[in-house]
Amino acid sequence: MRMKGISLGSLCLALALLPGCSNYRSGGTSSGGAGSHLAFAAVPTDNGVAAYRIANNTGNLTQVFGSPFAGGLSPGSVVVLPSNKFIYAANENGNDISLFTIDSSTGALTEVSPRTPAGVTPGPLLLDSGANFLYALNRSSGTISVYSVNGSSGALSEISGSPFPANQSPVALALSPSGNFLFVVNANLAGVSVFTVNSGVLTLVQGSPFAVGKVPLGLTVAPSGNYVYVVNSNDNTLSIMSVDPNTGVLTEILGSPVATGTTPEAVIFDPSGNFLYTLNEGSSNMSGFSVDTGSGLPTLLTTTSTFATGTNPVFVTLDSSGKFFLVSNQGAKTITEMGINSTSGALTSSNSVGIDQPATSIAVTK
Amino acid sequence: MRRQRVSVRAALFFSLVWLVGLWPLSSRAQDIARLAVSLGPSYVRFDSKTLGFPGNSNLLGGTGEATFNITRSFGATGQIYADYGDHVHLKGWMAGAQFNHLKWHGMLFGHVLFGKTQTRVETVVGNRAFLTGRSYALGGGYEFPISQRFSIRPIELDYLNTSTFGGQNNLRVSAALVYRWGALKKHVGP
Repeated sequence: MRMKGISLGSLCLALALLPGCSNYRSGGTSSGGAGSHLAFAAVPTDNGVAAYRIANNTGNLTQVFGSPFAGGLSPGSVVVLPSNKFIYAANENGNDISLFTIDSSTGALTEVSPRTPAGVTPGPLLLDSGANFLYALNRSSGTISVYSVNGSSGALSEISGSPFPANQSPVALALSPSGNFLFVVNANLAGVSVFTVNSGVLTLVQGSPFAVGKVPLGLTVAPSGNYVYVVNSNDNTLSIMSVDPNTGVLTEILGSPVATGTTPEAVIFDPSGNFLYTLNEGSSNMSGFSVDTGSGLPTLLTTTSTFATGTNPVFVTLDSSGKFFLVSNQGAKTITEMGINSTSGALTSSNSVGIDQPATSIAVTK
Repeated sequence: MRRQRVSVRAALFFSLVWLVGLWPLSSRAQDIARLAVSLGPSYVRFDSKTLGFPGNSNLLGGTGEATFNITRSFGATGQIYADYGDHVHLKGWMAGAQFNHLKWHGMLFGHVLFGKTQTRVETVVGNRAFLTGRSYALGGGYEFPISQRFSIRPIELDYLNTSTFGGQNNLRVSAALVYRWGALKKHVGP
């Protein structure tokens, strides 16, 4: 019995409807975004920003297609707005700041012109907790440029009074959790300058810079805001300074400094605030300390206190998952994940990805 | 054609019901054609996570194929395809061997194909890259006759491996209308 009454049109319609078993009408990417987030690395020698996708469940790193994305001259520091829509890169040789939009479906970056002028050799960059102000340390001009941030467009506007003098050779900066104080490491002065912060306007605290060890390169602030921790790269030590909550004056505590690995360049807390780590460029490892949150004094972890990274680590940041640190290894040309054991404070090296040229800064989306 | 607000799943359901309903109406058993040419739509689940995308990409397009059957159970086949998505375009050709088996008034087939694929990736507007690499596919499907000349291939599934910008493990689902020439009759006794 022949089939009758079946039009070719209805046949083609059925065939056309049969495949495409998804909710995507135009063949776009699937919504895997909830299962991953992004990390961006400043690569000065590539004049670009590299982008990586991090799988939330495994931490696997995959380079975003088209990365690194071209930016200004020698981007050395990157920060991401909490909206995950924009990223800033401080261009050390261009003396300006690039703004990039982040493509939410691919992770690719597109620079938005024009660039924002900064001081000489800008970087590092720092956003306040509300993402209202961006601070750019101008290392060669010894100043801090402060910009108000337009959260919708990402545009920067330099505030009145900026740039503010930051004393000689500023190399690192951090805000107190309250946002009331800005701490700036002055490497050649072996000290830390403190500023009060009022709507982005900086006022130097009398007595700055406060003495620490030789050639300090990095600092972090305790989650309580009561202590500042500074790594001294020439002394291989960690200085611990108490912070006067009213004036911001720093005082070195009893028991400070403590020994670290060789040539510490950065220091960072774990998410709980119970463990502190120094990034030791010379010994290619991280030193782990448990911290007495009352006294602020760190004590080397008992079982194992040093954790190998890649060769010559130069930058460390906490991933937005809170599960691991991302470390840029200059000698190995890699970015390595250091998994955090929140109970013991031990670190475990896990996923690693190669990068053509060393990254000097890493920022992650939420 | 008037646009219908029908969900994809409902359309799929009615299509399957329609096709399954067609099948028992045909009393004609499938002969193996000497030459068969097919054309139809395809969907590719492209492994764009390897490109740093948050998930896989859904590509829609079409596939055209020509098969010359040397025997009732074996033939040579060539295929061209093109599939498109928001950020990824895929097109290429492959050729290889097809294996046939008559079953359920129709024909089951399997194939192994090798060829080349060009992938175009555009992560942001204006920033696109092309690369051509080798590809291969393993898969098969089923088709049944609706007339002496025409068959319907309601389903073909392929594992499609492409090696552009690294390697991708993709899934392709397609369907086709098949036009057939000649018939390879079954040899019956001396």
